[in-house]
Amino acid sequence: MDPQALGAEALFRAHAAFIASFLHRLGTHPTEVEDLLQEVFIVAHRKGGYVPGPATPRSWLAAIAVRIAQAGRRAHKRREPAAGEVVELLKASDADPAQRLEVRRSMERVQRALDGMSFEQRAVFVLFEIEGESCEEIAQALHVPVGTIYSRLHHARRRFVNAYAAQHEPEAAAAGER
Amino acid sequence: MKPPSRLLDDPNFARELRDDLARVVRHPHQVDLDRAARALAVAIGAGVVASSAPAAASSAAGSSVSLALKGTLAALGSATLVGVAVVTLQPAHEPPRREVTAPQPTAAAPARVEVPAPPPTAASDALPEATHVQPQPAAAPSASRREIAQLRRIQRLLPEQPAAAYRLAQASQREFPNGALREEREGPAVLALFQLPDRERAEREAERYLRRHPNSTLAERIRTLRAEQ
Repeated sequence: MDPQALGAEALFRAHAAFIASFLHRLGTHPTEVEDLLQEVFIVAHRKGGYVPGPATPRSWLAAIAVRIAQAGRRAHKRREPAAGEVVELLKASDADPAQRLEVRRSMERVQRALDGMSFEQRAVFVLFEIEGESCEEIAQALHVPVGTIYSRLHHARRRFVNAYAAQHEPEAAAAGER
Repeated sequence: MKPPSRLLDDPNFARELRDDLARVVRHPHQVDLDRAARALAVAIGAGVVASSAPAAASSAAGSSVSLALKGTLAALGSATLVGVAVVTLQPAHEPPRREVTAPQPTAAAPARVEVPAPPPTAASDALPEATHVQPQPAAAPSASRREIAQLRRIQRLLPEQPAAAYRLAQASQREFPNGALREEREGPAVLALFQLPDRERAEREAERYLRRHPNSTLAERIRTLRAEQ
């Protein structure tokens, strides 16, 4: 192994929490996240670990996670987590029940708005809007031109905003009738 | 081209949308990382090659360790042992921690996993005899954790207590004849035999292993041992 490389164990310690959450945000079913999480680090191990290069370790791993999540979606029929499963994910937080409910509702609205876009758009949207990666970083990690990332992001944002607004349409219609 | 602002920072978008995104950013999903770390350490330490079986399907949480391991093994492909996987594990009664500690990787030592384990049985250079163990259904979650713990112990015993390692591999095979780690036990068992007096038996088992797993990570090592005389 390259002496400068970061091995799978070091990568896991530093980035497993991020990759697990990222997989969730990509639409991986909660019961599959742990399996896919390990696959990501096994692939990282097979590649000889992270070698310093254009991408950061985090975005390098994120690119692996994108491919594995995409393959997982093809292999398994994706279904929405049940409401109870989302609540389960929040139990570890210190928030009071009212805050937990608020967070859960936000997560549900965002997940629903993400569901309508293509997987490639979703990956770029999550990495930029939620994980805070730069477009250049995303481009380096995914091995696509930065212009492609801008384009995917543009389309993803439009879909997201429209899908998000559509969730409120019944309420808006009801409000308009009053 | 000027980089775009994030939606949650852009006042042109609805307040509610920005608030929802901000909450999602602040609350990443939680996962049991200790369990994933253990399964990863075993998978890397076992140094196995992918089977043709598809990756594990989603499963109930109770059996997630064994199925997670199967999914991991299926994804390994032509993995080779690089570096050292040493993960400090938590005993079952301690509250789980997300931190996983490990020393710096080195290239020379074989993969080891430190676990709280009962004291090793007395080593002997005599050929180990069969040990009676009640077979258990391989599908039960507790059996799978036990099988994993046995494999880790076999790997730990192998360098200095090959007889005990071989004895445990045989016992584990009897207890879990259809277990998920059947293939992973066989390699270390053959390596153990090469450290014991019965050379003919070692050769026989090596030949059987190489027929079944010609491209496994340990195949080359076993071929080398056979060639040495």
